[in-house]
Amino acid sequence: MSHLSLPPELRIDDVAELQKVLLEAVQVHGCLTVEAADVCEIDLAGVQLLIAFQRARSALGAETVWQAPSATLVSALDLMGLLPMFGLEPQGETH
Amino acid sequence: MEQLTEVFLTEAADQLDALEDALLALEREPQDTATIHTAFRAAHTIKGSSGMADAHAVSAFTHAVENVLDLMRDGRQVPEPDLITLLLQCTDHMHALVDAFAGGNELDGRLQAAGESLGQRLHPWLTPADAADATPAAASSATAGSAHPPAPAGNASDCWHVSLRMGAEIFQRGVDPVRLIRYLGTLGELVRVVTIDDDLPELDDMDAELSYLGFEIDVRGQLDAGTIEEVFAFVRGDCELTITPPRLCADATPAVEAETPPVQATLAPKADSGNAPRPHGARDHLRVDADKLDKLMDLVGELVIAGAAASALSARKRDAELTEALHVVSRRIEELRESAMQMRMVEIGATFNRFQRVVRDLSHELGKDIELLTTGGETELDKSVVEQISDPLMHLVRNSIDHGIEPAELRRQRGKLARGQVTLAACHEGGGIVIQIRDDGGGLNTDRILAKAIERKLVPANATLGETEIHQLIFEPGFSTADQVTALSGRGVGMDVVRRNIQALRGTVTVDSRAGEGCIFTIRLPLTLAIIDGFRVGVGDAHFVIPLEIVGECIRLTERDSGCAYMTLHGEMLPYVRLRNLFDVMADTRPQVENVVVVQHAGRKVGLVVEHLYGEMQAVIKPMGRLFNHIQGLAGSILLGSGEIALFLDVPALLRGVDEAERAETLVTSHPTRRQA
Repeated sequence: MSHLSLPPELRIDDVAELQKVLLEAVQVHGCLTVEAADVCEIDLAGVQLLIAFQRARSALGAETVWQAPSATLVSALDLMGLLPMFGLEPQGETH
Repeated sequence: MEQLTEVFLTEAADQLDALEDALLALEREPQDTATIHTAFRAAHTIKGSSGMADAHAVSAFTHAVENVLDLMRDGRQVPEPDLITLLLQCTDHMHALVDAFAGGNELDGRLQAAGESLGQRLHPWLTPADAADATPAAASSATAGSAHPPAPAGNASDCWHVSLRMGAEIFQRGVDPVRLIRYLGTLGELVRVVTIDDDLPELDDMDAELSYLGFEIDVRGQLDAGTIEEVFAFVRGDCELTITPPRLCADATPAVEAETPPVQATLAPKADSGNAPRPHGARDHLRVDADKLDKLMDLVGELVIAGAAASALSARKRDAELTEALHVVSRRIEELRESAMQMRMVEIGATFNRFQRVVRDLSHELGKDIELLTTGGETELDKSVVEQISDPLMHLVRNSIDHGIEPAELRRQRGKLARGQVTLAACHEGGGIVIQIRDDGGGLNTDRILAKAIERKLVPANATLGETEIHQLIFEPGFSTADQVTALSGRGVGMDVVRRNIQALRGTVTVDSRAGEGCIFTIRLPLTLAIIDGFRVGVGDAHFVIPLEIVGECIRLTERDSGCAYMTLHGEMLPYVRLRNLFDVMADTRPQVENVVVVQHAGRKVGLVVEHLYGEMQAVIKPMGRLFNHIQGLAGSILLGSGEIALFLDVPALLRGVDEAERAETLVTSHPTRRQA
């Protein structure tokens, strides 16, 4: 099982770098754990990149576990109706 | 998001002004539905843009104000005076909230308490909102072409449906649509949001900095198309937005995507949406940072100097072709200067309008019935002048209300209308601007002013002064005639500060008063501070520049006249001063020829005796520096094309000097003993 840690900031200025990292991570065989506890800033560009990544993983039939997602990340995904796509549950609090 | 904040702050200032103006207008004409709409729109826009800029305290507070105005708009609330007063106070509070937001400050306890108290007072004016119960209807299902499972089934029949497709480059514009959706969620309940990722390429094909997503949103609440549209106003040019009202959604269920709904507010990019308010500033205007205009003005100033240097050089070289070419260049520079200056010109009307509120509040406070009239609001002057004239104007207006306009009872006894009038008027006059503050009050009390001036040793006890001269004494430092010191004015600081501020703008202020009829304060200001058309003269080796617009004529000083301080011109006595004596110009030789430049200011003429007349020039005025502050009659320095320095004459100050000299003469005449001493 492999690990990938998301950086704290997933915004328009960060996505180009992150895309390279994710492109490698897509290829990981078997279950990949994405550590998402540190994410404290995310905008739509960041979310969009995660969607593309998750879709690519699913297309390969590879399992991806989103580990301890931060409240910021959950709130953003929840707002856009994307939690089920990432296999996540809404948290009690938002904002 | 900083841009968004800046846009918000600029817009909020404009809209708060608009709201205040509308409320004041409503107070005068409560029946005017157009004004009610204006007020509502202003509040509505402030709420919308503050929400988008994350100024939540502003948007939350404005929400309540907007609701009251909404009821007013529907005729379910009447703009009673009490309500207008309360709404004006709310406007002030909104100003304070915006300021706190701009300063990045947390709300302090005082501001918070003020907001709560206003909220409580607003409450009774909010008749219970219509219950928004919706009849249960068939649940819709998500049919959006995405791979996501449907979100919890919403009841689409009472929901607005918003379909949003973002332009590819929306992220580069610094706009995050997530925030816009989140903001929409504060206006209504987000029943369902579906992210449409059909156009999203594979991870390795996508440009992560472009947007490929879209949203289908169901939102429920007291909304209208305009409100929703405004949420997305910032991205309007960059996305396709389709807004479908509740019932149409129900009919169209389950067609969430609603490609061609029968009737709906389709807001294609760039399309002008009928009667929906256009975002402010989206017309043919461009907001430009004031610093940039200052910089442009500086550059034009440097260009004027450099152009003059080149012209001087070519004149020395006697190169006709070069001179001709430079002549064209300098004409263009002049045009450039004109248009650069034009860009800085703003109408004074906006400043005048701000006094509506001042007059209203002060007259309420004093229990006087006063109306403010304004004329000439379209008169333009340099923005820096407008900014700096506001304080002196405030003082003069307050003064007129406090001391000028009599109590209603006294006015009736004097056969005047009970309602007092204060007028702010502006017009252009001889290359400058004249602003008048007129009131129809009691006028200045000449005897009391003289008594006070003698008591404060501003004039000798037995001075013989004309009425006009006595009136001008109110501008002397430390002068105050108010019998009662009120909270408004009359603390002894005032008129002298007003005069000093106006003089700092190279302007003058005078007062004209008629007992029992009223008072007129007249302020004369130059249109601009930076570059002027000047007339260059010389004394010995020294150069002086006089503002061209005040130069009347130039004449030769004849032998006959040269001995005294007066000469006759067109049958009138003209006092004159020699710049040579005034500024102690050292020159070895006594001049062969002397010329008199006749200057005119505020209806007075005086002759300045000089030796050389060099002619017109464009002058960039630089401040003199503190070292020279004590020298009267000079307002700045000017770098000439030759590299020499010319001094810019402060003619109003020179005229004052002549006046003082005359007055001293009068005083001395009335004190024969002192003359002997």
